[in-house]
Amino acid sequence: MNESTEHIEYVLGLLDEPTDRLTERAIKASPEQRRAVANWSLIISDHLLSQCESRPLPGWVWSRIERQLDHQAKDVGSALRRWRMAAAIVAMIGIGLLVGVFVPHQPAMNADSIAMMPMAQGQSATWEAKADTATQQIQITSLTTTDQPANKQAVLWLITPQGQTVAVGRLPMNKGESVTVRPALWSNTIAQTTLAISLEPTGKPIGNKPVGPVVWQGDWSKAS
Amino acid sequence: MSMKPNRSNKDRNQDDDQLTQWLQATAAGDRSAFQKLYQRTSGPLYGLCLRILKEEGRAQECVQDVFLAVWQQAGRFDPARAQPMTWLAAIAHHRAISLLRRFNREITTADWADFLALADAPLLSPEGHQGGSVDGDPHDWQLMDREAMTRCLEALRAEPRQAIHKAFWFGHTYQEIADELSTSLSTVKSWIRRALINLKSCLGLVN
Repeated sequence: MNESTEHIEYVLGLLDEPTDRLTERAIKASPEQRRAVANWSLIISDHLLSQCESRPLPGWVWSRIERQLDHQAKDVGSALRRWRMAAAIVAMIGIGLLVGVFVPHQPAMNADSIAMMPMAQGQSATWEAKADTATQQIQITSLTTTDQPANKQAVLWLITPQGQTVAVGRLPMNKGESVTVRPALWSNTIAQTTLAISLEPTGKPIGNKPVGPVVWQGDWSKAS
Repeated sequence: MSMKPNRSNKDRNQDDDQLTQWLQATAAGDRSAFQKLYQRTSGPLYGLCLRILKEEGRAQECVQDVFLAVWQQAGRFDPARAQPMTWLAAIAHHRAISLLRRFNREITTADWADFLALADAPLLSPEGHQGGSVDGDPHDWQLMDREAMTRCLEALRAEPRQAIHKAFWFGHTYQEIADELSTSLSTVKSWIRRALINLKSCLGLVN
């Protein structure tokens, strides 16, 4: 009889921190362990669900989810505009200390991965992306001024090793523009993601997968 | 759907089909389908999160995290492996347990949704055990399996059953259960591990 119960103990949350961490690593490393926890997760959750009452949620929870999705696909260009507006206000009132109030806090960037991204496969780089795993930030700098195709916007995506796509945001189009973003639902495996650029229809919200053509895909390189 | 066990199989099938369609549309980026999915399923999931987390604010955070992960991972749902509501509940349960911990877990909610794609397709024997194959409406077997789980939990001896109950419903660690029951950690570990082995055996899930 197989008397191993670690995967059920993990699903139930019984383990202390060190054991929980060790078990998580074992689960991540083994498809068989992942299958075992998946099976027990479904069995236990189905039982718990059958014993729970449905409860009404306040309406703002959905609003918050929508905002989060919008933020995820946020226009990095608008982040740039906010920065400029803040800078203008600071300049007008002449109080440098206000920078800390108006500029969103971003931890210091220490890039460990870098990618040079062209507008199309085989072309020279249009953008440089730098990623900092520790602070979970990506900084994107436009190296050239680029004209976008009519009714299209260039959008940067990340594709995880499991095939999950995460919209990072619209790419800046003017030379020298640089923005820093922290994509929602970030995992700690930046260097393992594949980058992709697609041309999405303008004026439409960005979903969880590219709708327009993917014009480039590439990988991160280790930053020197 | 699972929250209404006395409904007809036809109704449950229709619910599952509808939820599956919304999940598939969500995977394709359809916000409207995603909203309908939320409207239909967030109540039971909130009930589950609240039951474990006990605080409304944290339970609401749990539901939010679950749906953000579902938006990303809806394409991983496989109706051959789980009913849509069970799949969603498994993601919610993992998130609730993770929120309960004072330390950060490495396996994220999105990871969990991904792992669930590896689950075995449920094959239930007439005794409600996995491992066999059956004809007829799968929902009957699902109901039987739930009854089997309840029966197997009730069959445990009193002390292990009490400890397992705290693990199921409160998300407590071994140490927290030992403290609550004023018992040694080793005793609680022994009770629960033995109880889990008995549960596996009772459900027919031993290899």
